Amino acid sequence: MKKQLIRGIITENPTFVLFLGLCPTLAMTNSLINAVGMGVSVLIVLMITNVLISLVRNQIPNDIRIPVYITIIATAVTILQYFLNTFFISIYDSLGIYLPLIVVNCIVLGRAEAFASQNKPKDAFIDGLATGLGFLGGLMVLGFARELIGTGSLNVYFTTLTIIPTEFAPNIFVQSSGAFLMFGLIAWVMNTIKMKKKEVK
Amino acid sequence: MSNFILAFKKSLKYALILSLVAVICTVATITVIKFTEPKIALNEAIKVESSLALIYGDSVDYKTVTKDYQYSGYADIDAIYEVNVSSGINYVYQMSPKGRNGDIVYLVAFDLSGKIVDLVYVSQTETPGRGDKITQDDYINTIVGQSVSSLNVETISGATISSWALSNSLNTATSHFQNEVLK
Repeated sequence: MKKQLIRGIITENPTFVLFLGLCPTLAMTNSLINAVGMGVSVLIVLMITNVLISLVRNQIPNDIRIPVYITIIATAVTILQYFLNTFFISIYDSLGIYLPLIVVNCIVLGRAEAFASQNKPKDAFIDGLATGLGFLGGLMVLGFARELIGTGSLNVYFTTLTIIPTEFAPNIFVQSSGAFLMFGLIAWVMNTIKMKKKEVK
Repeated sequence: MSNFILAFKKSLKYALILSLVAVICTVATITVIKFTEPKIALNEAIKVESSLALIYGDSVDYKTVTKDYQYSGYADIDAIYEVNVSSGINYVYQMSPKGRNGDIVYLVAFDLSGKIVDLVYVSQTETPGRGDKITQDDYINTIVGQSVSSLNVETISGATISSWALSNSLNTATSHFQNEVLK
């Protein structure tokens, strides 16, 4: 289990190592709270769909597995959408179109196809948890950096941390082009650290 | 021939499995929708009331009249509310034009004499220090009080896209109000 968690969160992090699911990653990280909303939504969907797909893996013929997976994922996302619209309206509003688009998120379908369809429900659940946490972590790092630098301050519920006055903050980082820049920068830093570690070994 | 029958049987089996999965998923979704729908409707009503409260304060006497009018040729009109105030009836348009960074959602209120009574932003993500100049009181005050038949919205330098979005959608709202509501 520990190995699986490390694999999902660090060595095969979906955001910064595998570069999967970049569309919501770039679009929803303009603030930390949006990033957390998106990450948690994907985490929940991943855990539910991984377990369900693992449960039906022996009943579904190989030829029609993809349509079945997509139906299951779409159902899970639709249910989550209604649930968010009922209990977490602000998150629902800020996620907008990216919430239903989780259906075609390649991480969700990828884990279903690569892992859940061949493993027991318990392992599939842990895999969903690990990959989802990896995605959430990646989004949080990006959302944290973009909000902090792009707006000069960070709002976490009641406290505001300001490092640059709003007027002088490099606004580009909260816009879409800044998402690419910041993503590239963070991926560069992470990969440099990784390569340094390899050299030491 | 037997090959054909075998293939047919296989397809039938697959079709049955897929239908079964679809039925189960539909039932699950419908159950959730039935359970959450009343709460979502309630949340919508609270949202409308809280945005109308930006203009009229708490306890607003309003009616949603969005469905009573035609909208062909009028873009970005989200909703129209008929509000009873002490001075008569106000019509409040909720507009959501595309700004520089996303939708600018605002309410603009007209009275029956064809004057703009108020304009408030419900939500907008225009760039701080640039596009969000359209939210400054000085700017809003140049719009409030104007007559719908001779509306003139200034463009702010440095906030061109945002103020164009506002001005275009205000023109839509005023012409809709004159052509469909006042008639």
